[in-house]
Amino acid sequence: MRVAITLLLLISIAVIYFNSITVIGSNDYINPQEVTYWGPIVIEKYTFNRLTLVVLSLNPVVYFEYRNVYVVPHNDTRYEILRVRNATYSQLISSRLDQLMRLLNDSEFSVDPVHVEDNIIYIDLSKVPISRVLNSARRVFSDISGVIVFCDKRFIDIVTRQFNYGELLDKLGFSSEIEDLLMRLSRDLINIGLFSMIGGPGSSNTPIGKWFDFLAHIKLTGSYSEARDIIEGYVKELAEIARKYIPEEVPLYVLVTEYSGPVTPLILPADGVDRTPLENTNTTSPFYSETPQSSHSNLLVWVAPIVIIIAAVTTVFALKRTLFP
Amino acid sequence: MIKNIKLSIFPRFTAAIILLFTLLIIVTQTPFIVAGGYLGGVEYTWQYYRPLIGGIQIEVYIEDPTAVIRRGYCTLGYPVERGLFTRGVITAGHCSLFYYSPENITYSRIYVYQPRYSYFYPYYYIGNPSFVNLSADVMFIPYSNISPVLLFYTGWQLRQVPIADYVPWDTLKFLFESGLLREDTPIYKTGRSTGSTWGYILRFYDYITISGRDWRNQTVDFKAYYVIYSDLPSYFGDSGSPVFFFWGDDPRTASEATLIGHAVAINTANNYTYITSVSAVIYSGFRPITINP
Repeated sequence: MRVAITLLLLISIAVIYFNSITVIGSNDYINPQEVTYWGPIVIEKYTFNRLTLVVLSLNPVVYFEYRNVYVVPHNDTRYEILRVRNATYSQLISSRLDQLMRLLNDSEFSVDPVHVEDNIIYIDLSKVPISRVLNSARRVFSDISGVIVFCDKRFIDIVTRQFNYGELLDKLGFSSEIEDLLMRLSRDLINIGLFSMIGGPGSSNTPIGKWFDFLAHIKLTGSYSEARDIIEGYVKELAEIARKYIPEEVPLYVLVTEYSGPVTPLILPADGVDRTPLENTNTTSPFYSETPQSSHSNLLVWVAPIVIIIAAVTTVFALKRTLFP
Repeated sequence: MIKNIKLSIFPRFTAAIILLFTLLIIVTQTPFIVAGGYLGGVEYTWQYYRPLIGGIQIEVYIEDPTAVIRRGYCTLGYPVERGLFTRGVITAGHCSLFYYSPENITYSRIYVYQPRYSYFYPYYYIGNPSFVNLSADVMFIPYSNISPVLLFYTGWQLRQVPIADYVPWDTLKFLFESGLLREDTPIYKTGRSTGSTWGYILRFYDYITISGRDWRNQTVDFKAYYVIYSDLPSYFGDSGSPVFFFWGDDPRTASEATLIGHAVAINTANNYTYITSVSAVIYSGFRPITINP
């Protein structure tokens, strides 16, 4: 009985720790295991036994659009780097491209030739549904235990078009009109209590190493819907300014990160400082409310696996003694 | 008999420990896999260093007109020079504590110590700042006994790595966007609160605006230009920490570091760091000192 309880506990621990690993049978559903919105793209991760398929396609979630300027959700957490330089692996993928193309093309669909670069397969996903790509890839790469990445060629087109107007985008970056506008937007967001940070024009990395330009990055402490009216008003103004510099054919983006924590300066006020002015207010300062980071997280990272290993070994010995006295 | 006792104790003991840790993990919401790169070496940053080098603790005192003394901890960034004769060190502009004080404060009422204020060791005092630019988030403290070296803890060894050169913001942006520097090029920082940590560059911003509350609980805007956003972890007290990389060398053995800026802010949700590029310092009239002339 005790052994059974211990085993159950071990299993529950394993489930808590390794809940990111989901084993999907070959005949199961094709729902993404993980979806990450990353500005112009959405990253979907699918797991089929030991094979992981990652698809980068154009982000279908657009909060607002005006003159080819898109307000899109953006995840603020780093995504694992998907571009890997491995000649053998790339060669393996390339050698099966013909087979993949045969499965993708039929009377219904006609897919342009795909190409492989740094283990990423570039494909035009406007001509073939993702489910078909996944099913074909599952069949072609079923014996591979690793990650195969598909990237929508339309995203590369966007990056190329932005790159061609790089100098103009750089000029736009330090335009005082945009700086003033973003300053006004930040004041309005502060007034409604949703402000975390606003970053001026810049560029963002993607997990495949391609960089894209954005007009602004707005981090909110709440949801977009709470600030929708304010943001959309300013985005219209922003688009009007941007289009004076950049032609309408170049898509531009305003990134929105929701439920972000406050962004604050890194100074550490020392203990024992006179903070009396804060006593008369109900709200606390973000500078003073933070406590220094404890070391428990690092301690647990080292100690927890050791404890689990000891527990597992002990249980195995206990089981052995019980079953084979 | 002894065997029976052992058998009955072990599973119960094990179960209790597992339960305890499960509860701890659930209650503290501690992730099992830490995404950041903590290398450690915090204690070393709190020690007394002369000549002054990058990545060590400083303490800033400010005396406001009402004679209230306020103080805070920051990290010393890197040595710089202005013209032929002015030398000193750079840290974050907000470390001047202007945000906690009335506007009519003067530089002469700001006192900087390394590693901290001490009644018994007056030589800890390094001086008053002679330049503070809150827009660029830069503060300059003149001091002659400096060395173009950065403190760096590799995980088991403390090193003082010479600064070979520095990369301005637009050059760094170009290097990454063009693929000359890959996205998996790690960058490092050393600060008084989290020691040496590493991460990757995620974004470049022309400028950022963030807000905080000052000592009167009024909202103040805080702006920084030429900003780099990275997932390298930092925490309060790391303001001014030098951020650098090693041009593809193994950080444990690299003989030189390339400077890119100093840490200024964090996103409290994930402890990711905002870095002000050396460009902001250069446009303020200073030049980072390197071992190569």
